Amino acid sequence: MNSMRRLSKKLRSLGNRVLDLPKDVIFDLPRITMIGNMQLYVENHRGVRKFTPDKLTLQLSSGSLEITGKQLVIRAILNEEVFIEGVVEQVKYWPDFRRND
Amino acid sequence: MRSKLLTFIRGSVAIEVRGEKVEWFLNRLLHQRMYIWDIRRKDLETLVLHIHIRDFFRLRPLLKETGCRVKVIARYGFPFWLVKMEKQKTFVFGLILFVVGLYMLSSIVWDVEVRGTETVSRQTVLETAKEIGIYRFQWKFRLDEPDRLAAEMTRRLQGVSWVGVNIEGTKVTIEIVESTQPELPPLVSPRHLVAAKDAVVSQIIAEKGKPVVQPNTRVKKGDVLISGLIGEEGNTQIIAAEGTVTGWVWYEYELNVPLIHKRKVFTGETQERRYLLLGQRALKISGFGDPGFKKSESIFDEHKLSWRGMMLPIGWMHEKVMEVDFVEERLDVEKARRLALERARADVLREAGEGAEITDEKILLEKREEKRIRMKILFEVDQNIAVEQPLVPGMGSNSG
Repeated sequence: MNSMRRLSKKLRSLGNRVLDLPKDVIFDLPRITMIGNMQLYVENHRGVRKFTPDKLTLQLSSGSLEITGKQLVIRAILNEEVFIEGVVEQVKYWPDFRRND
Repeated sequence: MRSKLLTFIRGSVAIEVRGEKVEWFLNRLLHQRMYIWDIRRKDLETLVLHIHIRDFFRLRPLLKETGCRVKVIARYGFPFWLVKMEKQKTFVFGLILFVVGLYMLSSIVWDVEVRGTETVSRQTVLETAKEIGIYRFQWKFRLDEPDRLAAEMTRRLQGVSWVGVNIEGTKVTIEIVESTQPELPPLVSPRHLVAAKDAVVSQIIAEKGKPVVQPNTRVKKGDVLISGLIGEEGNTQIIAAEGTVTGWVWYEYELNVPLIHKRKVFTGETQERRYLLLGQRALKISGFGDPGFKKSESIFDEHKLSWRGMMLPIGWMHEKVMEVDFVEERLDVEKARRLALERARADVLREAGEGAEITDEKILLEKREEKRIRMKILFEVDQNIAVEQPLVPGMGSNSG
């Protein structure tokens, strides 16, 4: 079982090197797009953990994303993507959520 | 995101969610694949969000699960509009009435136009159109197909070769092409054909009526040639006699042939005079002095001032006085005679009328003088001698 996983990881790494695919597709990572400090677009999130006008924490497949700012509003939200507006001051990436909670 | 129009049609609400775990509630919504937008944190326990009506009615189990309470704070979209409308029934009624009224008014024939009539009267066309249902204030949907209407019109109208019916909006145009009818022969009343002159009949062709005379008969002016009274005694009928009768007629023509011809000749001597025109008067300016011409002719050339199309009583005139001399020419006797005879023949034929022909001519007298020739000629002309004489019924005919 463990060797299988290692093998699949190796295979994926190989595929990535050979085909040069974007990493978010291969590793199931979020894609974060920011327009100035006004708009923030996060794809591939796993839900909202905390939402206040000053702070928004998004659950990711591994780890979490913490956005701090002012007058934060979720303009639109779908199962896998979220569109945030407001004054963004900081975007903090926690690799594993267990550590920061 | 999703279309705004669709959102409007389906309707959406803004709701306030109150609870301790609003984020959990939010995630549960996402798991249920509900679409929500414009999410705002109002305070620690409250979340404001927008959701479709359809999804709103599916919230109940999630609320129970997360222990949140919900409150609608605003409604958007068409379904709520309908609810509002229901409250303003009069307005909606008026709106519908307006639309229906507009439709009704636009399906009425407001105007009937007739084009192309010349001899057929417009009134007749309109009346015929009314018979088959084309008239003012008629419902358009009660009218037949235009081509059928046109065919019906063509059948009912007389003196018309084609009718076109065209319905444009609220206006019906009837276009008419009239058939050209042959000219009717002029009506004639009963008549005789009688002799116009003393003559000898050369030919008689009676198309209608009874010929009374034979060729080579001598007739006097007023004698009946073709009678309009036909049938036996006691069973007569009066008709308009028709036909042609020609006869020989004699004309005596006297000629005076001048042998001297006077001709006008300009000598080339001229004098020019200029005048100033004031109203009806002409004031001589130049060309004074008598040029000593025995006889002269003048050419006048008038100029009048005009201002903006209005003639002014001021102008000038130019006169050219030309000296004239008369030259006498003596003509050749034979030539003069021939010319004179030709003129005499033309005169006679003109008097005899159309289709006349000179059959014989005799010079009765010819007398030569110093300056002229006197001639007397007898022409025999074959010409139409018939003339119409109206027949009054009841008046007995003396030669029938």
